[in-house]
Amino acid sequence: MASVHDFDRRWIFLIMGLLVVGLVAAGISAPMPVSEYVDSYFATIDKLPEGSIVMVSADFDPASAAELLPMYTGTIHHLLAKKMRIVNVCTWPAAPPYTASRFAEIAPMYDAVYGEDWVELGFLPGDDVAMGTIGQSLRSAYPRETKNNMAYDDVPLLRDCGDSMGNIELLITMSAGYPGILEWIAQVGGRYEIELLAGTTAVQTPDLFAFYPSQLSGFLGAATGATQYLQLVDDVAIDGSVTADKETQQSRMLVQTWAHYFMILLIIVGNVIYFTGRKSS
Amino acid sequence: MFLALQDVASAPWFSLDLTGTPDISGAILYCFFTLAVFSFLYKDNPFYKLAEHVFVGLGTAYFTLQYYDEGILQPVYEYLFGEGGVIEKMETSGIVEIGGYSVDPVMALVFRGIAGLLAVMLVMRLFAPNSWMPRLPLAVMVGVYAALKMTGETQSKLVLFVGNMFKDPITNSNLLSWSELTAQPSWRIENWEAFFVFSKIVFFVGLLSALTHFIFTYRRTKVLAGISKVGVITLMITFGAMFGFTVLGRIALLIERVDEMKSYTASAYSLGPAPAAGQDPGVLSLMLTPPILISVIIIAVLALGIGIKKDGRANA
Amino acid sequence: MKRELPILLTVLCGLGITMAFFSSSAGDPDDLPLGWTKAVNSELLAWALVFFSVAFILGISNLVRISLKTISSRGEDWPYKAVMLIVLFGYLGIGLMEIHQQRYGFFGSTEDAVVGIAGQGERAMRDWVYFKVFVPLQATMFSLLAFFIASAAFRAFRARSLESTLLLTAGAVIMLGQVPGGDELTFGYAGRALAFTMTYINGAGQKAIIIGATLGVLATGLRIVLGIERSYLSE
Repeated sequence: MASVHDFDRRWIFLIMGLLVVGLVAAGISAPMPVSEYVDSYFATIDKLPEGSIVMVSADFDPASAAELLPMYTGTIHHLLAKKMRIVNVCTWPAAPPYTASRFAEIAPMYDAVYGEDWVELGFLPGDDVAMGTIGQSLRSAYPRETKNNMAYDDVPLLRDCGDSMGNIELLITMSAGYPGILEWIAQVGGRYEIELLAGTTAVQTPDLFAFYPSQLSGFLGAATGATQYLQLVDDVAIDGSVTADKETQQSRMLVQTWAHYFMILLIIVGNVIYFTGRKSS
Repeated sequence: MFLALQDVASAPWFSLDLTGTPDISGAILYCFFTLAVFSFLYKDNPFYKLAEHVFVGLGTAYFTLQYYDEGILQPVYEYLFGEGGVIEKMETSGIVEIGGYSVDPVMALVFRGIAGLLAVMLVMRLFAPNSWMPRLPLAVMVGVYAALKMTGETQSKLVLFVGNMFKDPITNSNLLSWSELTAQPSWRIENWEAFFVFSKIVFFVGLLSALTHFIFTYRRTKVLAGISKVGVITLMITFGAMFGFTVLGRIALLIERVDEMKSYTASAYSLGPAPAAGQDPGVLSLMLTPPILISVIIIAVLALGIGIKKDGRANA
Repeated sequence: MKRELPILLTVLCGLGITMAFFSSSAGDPDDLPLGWTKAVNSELLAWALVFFSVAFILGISNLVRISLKTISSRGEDWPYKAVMLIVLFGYLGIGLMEIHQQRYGFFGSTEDAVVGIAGQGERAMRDWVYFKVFVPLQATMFSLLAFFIASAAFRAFRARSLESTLLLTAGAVIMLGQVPGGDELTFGYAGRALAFTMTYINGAGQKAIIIGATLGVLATGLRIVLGIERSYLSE
């Protein structure tokens, strides 16, 4: 019997490609049930009083944007809809263009004023050191904001933040890996006793079950978490502004379903061929 | 970007405003580089090589700019010479705050000056690779990182972590129930007490045996080997879960790529003549959109390349 | 001295950061007995941040040197290396102009700049190239892994032993439990199995891994801060 290694793997590539292209072209979508961790994430933001200062850290790049950008978009909608004040930071150098474009699109929907309702502090290099610096003194970490290059104390929101993390109610990270949520937990969560939420890539999601619920109040895991969260945010966002995003995610999850079936089928067929071949030899 | 723009009426040829409708020239570049990378699945080829080298060049330049702006210009030049910087504070007899602590501006200047000097020593590596000078900034980096990691991680991932480890599964009896918002009741596990007791036993047995497997690595007695075996089983299931999530993540990336390509198949991006108002753009219009047109070109060039190679071999 | 001085620096920096950790974090550092340790901590972190950035930028020199060597000797793929350098320096040029324009207005008033994503034009061209070229390149590079993981699933994932069977089964459960259709296909059991596996078995495994890794970090950290570990100084 022929070995699986004799099989040209490009046939698998082709079937996989055709499957995904065909299903994406069909564009069907279906709602998903919401898991507890996502519900906790939503509830943690929802319960905060109006005007609370929330730090959002964008720790991702284009390679993980497929999973994290929908979560980030949903979170910004959720926070602004609930009239929270957002301090946006990045510990990944590739994140600032995403955050700038998201805020430029979403902030006007909620009449959010730059410097009062949200501020962008931009990228800070150094990974753990960056987080340690932010936790120790936000003013030392960012003497100026990044959008208009204004001094820290000239920005009303930053003045209200003060120097330490004391006035920040919640820290949310969109974490793609290192540095990310595990480093925020170590450098800021534990030291300054700040409530943490995270949106993570699928690869990092299993790690977070170890920290939930005591050191991490909730998390959005992978594209699944993003879809579930957007379903919840759709009810609070202004004028159905995330409906299109939600439907896009839902239709992607349906494609994902069939791709997973295909993967399981490949594992089963590969094993059947292997064991049949071994028996006959 | 993230929003699929299937129903775009018209798209500009070139626009730097990235919040509006994506421009056609950008769409062409976007689709070309996406498809050029995908062409690697067939085999290594000039399109992929071009994409690969552009990626390295652009990535290096982008990251360099970010590190230059936020890691050198801001903390050194702006900090010392910028508006409200240390030099200005020296002239106005002000106070500089470092980490919330008030410091004399001269001291601040000396401190950051030393950092500048050490940074220059690091650059010396370029000119004298075996010089001892780059060791000094390296030593600072290692000391700072090691201490920061050691203190932060020990507190959060050992002291607090172990404390919560025994608290969470016992006090949080609702860990397995999905929220009230769950659309499908089948996703819930009923609060069946015996099942939770069983789950917690599984948790503690798994945790202690996995820890035993990691820590007691010397002289494996029969009992220790048995416990270790249970630990290995726990870890294998954990790795299986990680594998399942990895598949989920990688496929999600692929789906997003294909979905993004789909958004550029709108008639607004077609390079063919614009259809009359109210008329169906037709198949030709679709064929002339960047994703399809570029796919056809790449496939044609690769097929032509195979043809030429085969001819060459036949003639040889 | 060339060896002792760096070790002394490491120890001093490490102790400085460790001391700041143990001094009280609440209240104004000016009023705290060990408030100055906060300043030491903050300044040392700023130093590390600068060195980190300088070290990263130094990385370019290697890339440029190797590429130039290949181009000059007409080595393999030299035209691509030339394209790479053109892209690198072209983008660096655009970026440096934009950064200095935004901060210091070197090229006239910032108001004359083109409208960019933030309505300021401060990083307009940089971000345009980023979104139109860098984003598709990086995102697609990583999405290729979906194909390779599918191929590996067929060719390499074998249920040869109890452990590997458990690994594959857990993987399949997660794959089914995470997607909307998978739960229906298994009459609602995939979701439940996923919740049980992730919370109790994966939870136990992850906690064990984290504790083991943190003990390692603690031991290595102590060795470095106390000056026992010196391997980082070797060439």
